[in-house]
Amino acid sequence: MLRNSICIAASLLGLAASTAALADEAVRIGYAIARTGPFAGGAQVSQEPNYLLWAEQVNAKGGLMVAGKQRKVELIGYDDRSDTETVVRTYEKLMNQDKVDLVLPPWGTGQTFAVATLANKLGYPMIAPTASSKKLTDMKLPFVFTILQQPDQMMNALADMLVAQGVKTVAVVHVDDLFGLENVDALSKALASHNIGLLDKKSYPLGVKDLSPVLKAMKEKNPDAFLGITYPPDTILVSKQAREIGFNPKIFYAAVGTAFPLYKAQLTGNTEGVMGMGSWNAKTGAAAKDYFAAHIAKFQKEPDRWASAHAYASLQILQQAVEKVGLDRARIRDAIAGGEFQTILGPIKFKDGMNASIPGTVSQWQKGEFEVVWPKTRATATLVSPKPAWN
Amino acid sequence: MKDWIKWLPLIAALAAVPWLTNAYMVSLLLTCLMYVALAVSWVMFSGPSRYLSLATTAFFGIGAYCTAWGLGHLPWPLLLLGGALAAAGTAALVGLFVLKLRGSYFAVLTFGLSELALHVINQTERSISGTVGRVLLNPPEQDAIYLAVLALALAAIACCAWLWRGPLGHALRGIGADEDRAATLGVNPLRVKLAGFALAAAFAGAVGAAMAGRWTYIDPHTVFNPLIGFQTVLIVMVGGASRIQGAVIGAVIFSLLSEFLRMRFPYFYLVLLGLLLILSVLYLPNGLIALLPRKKAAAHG
Amino acid sequence: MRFGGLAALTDVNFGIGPGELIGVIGPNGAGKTTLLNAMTGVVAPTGGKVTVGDEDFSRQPAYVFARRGIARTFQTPRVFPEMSLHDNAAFGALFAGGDLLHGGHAHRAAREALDYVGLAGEERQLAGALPPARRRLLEIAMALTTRPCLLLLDEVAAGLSPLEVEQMGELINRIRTEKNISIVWIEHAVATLMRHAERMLVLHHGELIADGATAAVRADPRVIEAYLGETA
Ligand SMILES: Nc1ncnc2c1ncn2[C@@H]1O[C@H](COP(=O)(O)OP(=O)(O)O)[C@@H](O)[C@H]1O
Ligand SMILES: [Mg+2]
Repeated sequence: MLRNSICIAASLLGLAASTAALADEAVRIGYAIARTGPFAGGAQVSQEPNYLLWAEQVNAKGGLMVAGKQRKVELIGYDDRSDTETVVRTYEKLMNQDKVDLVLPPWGTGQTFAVATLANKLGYPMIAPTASSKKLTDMKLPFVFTILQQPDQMMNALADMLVAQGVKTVAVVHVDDLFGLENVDALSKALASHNIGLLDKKSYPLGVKDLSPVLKAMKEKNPDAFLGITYPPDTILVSKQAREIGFNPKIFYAAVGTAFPLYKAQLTGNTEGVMGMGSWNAKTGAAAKDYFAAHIAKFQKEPDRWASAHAYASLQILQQAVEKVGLDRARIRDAIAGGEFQTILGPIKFKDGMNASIPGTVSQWQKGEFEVVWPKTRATATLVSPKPAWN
Repeated sequence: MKDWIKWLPLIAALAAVPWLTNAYMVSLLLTCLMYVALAVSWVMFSGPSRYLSLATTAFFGIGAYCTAWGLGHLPWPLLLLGGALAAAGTAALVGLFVLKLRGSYFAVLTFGLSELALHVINQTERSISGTVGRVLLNPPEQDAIYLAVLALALAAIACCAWLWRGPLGHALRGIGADEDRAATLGVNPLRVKLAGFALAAAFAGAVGAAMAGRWTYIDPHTVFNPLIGFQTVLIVMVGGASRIQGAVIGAVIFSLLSEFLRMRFPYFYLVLLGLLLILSVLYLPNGLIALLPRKKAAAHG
Repeated sequence: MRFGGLAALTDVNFGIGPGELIGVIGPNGAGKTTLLNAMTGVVAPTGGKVTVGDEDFSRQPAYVFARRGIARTFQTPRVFPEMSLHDNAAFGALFAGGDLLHGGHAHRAAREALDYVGLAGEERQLAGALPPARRRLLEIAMALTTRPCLLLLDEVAAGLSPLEVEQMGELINRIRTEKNISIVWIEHAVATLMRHAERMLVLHHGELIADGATAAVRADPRVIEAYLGETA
């Protein structure tokens, strides 16, 4: 019984693989990503759309130039159901059975971890656009690169910006998962080194539904800055609740999701002066502007102003590496590690597997655009402080 | 009782799989076996007692954390045992309260248990190590995990068969049919339920401890994934709760089918899967197992 | 015994001696079943005391009563429908009869008990498939395997044909004489009951209005007024 089902499954799955292989000569690029489950929100905003957009653009131009020959790109993307075991299993299929030419990373830090060791073992280079963790970069896996800024970079930039604004006291609220804790750790160190007073520090669990008591207590303490190490739903939550209780410090910062178009839509007319994690916008450069327009043309929605562009840039890097050295994955890895690449975010180089070209950044909503305001070298607008009152 | 001998060739074939095929096939079978073990562990207690438990995720996660904490300090097989004991201990402790409730109250509370365990572990991790999430630096080989989960699946089946045949299974069945009546015939319901719940939890915990090695990185949200618990209950609904074969067949078919549909129809597979589930519940309310001929009910003893 | 504002049993005091067969009568709602419930831990009495031997059992759970040798049937039979007759009968032997570690003994006890009540040869059948009258017999077999010293029967003859009522009376009498088990038997079939029971209790609105030798109770004017008169 069991044996029969295994045979059936094997042949069915084999069938799926062989029909895929019919599109001859195409460069097959596989990935698993969350289309369902709790990670789908982030993955479908910042990551998968960029995979699709890039493949479409490359194919429109005739394909990827591999060893002097243009070959179409064929994406093989599966839903990972936000389940880690499914992620691992799917990449095992892609790399061991389907033997795809290249793989793209799944969404988020946790899932990237699971795939990273596997990709590294099997020699598939991978540039992770939505993984942000010292624990991951500390593993120093030769085939794994991160292109998003890491917690200490983002938090040092934030602290430097605070110093420049003359901020003396802050209140911090953070999500109590790895991302929140690593960031708050880096932030605390940076604040201490600049002698900025930490008046209050509160954590909250993932999926929190009410933070107004915490915010009220913080308002009492009257800090110069409010800093939230938050995820998209809580970013919107703290912003709305701070407005409700009239908590309007000089600097109001909330981390992930401030850069989402959704944030602007949810806070209707109340985004002015809010800061958060962002690294680019259409003014960053001509290439960024084209990308922005192409994203809107394909998906009828704007890309977010942080990870989206990193995801797209990671594909540009992969493309340039392939066009340089062909599909030999070890050589692609070396090319990525050693080269400098032209991307929509400007030139990018890696050092120790991390993006060495883009420093930590701070962005701020100004008149409907999420402007990069820190550091000056990457700024698209001048910082506005103090934050205007909520409407 | 000698039945199992005829299964030896299949067991041997399953044990040889890592040497015969590629890593994906091993991984696919591993998923099947993981859900076989989880579904059998679930049906072991909830089948006869009719206490619908949604705690599988909690026990699985607790087991996974045993590996996350112990790897590098203790030999891995010992960690599987640790995961089993930790899950069983939790089940016994929590069972003291929740097993007094019935029906949907029990289901809801057991679901809450995984949330509770998640937050307890989160707090513990933060206060002890100052961070959450653990990187498993030297995880066991995939083949070792496969063989361990195969052994756990077989052990769960054997344990379930033994349990159901003996007085504890008898008492659980009595409790499932009419708990107060069983008490008037000498059954101490709380004690029996605690034993059954804890034994079932032990297997889910051990499976969690085994699977954790595959993910490099463990954090509370990855291991306390509600999908695992829901899928386990669905599998038993599809396969049937009255016989062990129901859980086994359900787990294998469900795992293979959902994988096949997911690969073949990356965007619509959930709709298809949902449709198949509804059809199976409508037309096979007693599960796939109802399609298999039933041996004459074996007399007790 | 009270259920909210309702006094289901008030001031009901009586003892049961070894080997006695006591009949209990009383109109519907008199509190007969409640009395059995209080005597088996199915509901804890809100006041008063239940003693077994010298021990106070008032707060004990049902399984303690069962293990102490107090067995019962239910007015509407409560058998385990998806188990075979054999497994139904073995249940009590395992958990109250002391055969927990001796499956073989439980097996034998079950067969004997089924045999004794006249269900021999049907061991493999599912209890759910039994007609109601035979479920009552099965319940008695289930009670017997617990090896009781006191058996409480709640209207085991209700709904039976006159012949079956007679046979039931015989069976109960045999249990008492052959197994030396004390019996408390609630029944509306007063004639049969009085033929077999040497002592009668009469409940009325939760009060014990008569307790004595069958002949004396039969002649008691209060009983005639409250109960016998009604049914006559
Ligand atoms: N669990 C209960 N809750 C509330 N009232 C009850 C309960 N059980 C019995 N009663 C009430 O107690 C009274 C005695 O019931 P019962 O003992 O079943 O009577 P009998 O068996 O003599 O017909 C009835 O009025 C009945 O409605
Ligand atoms: Mg009654």
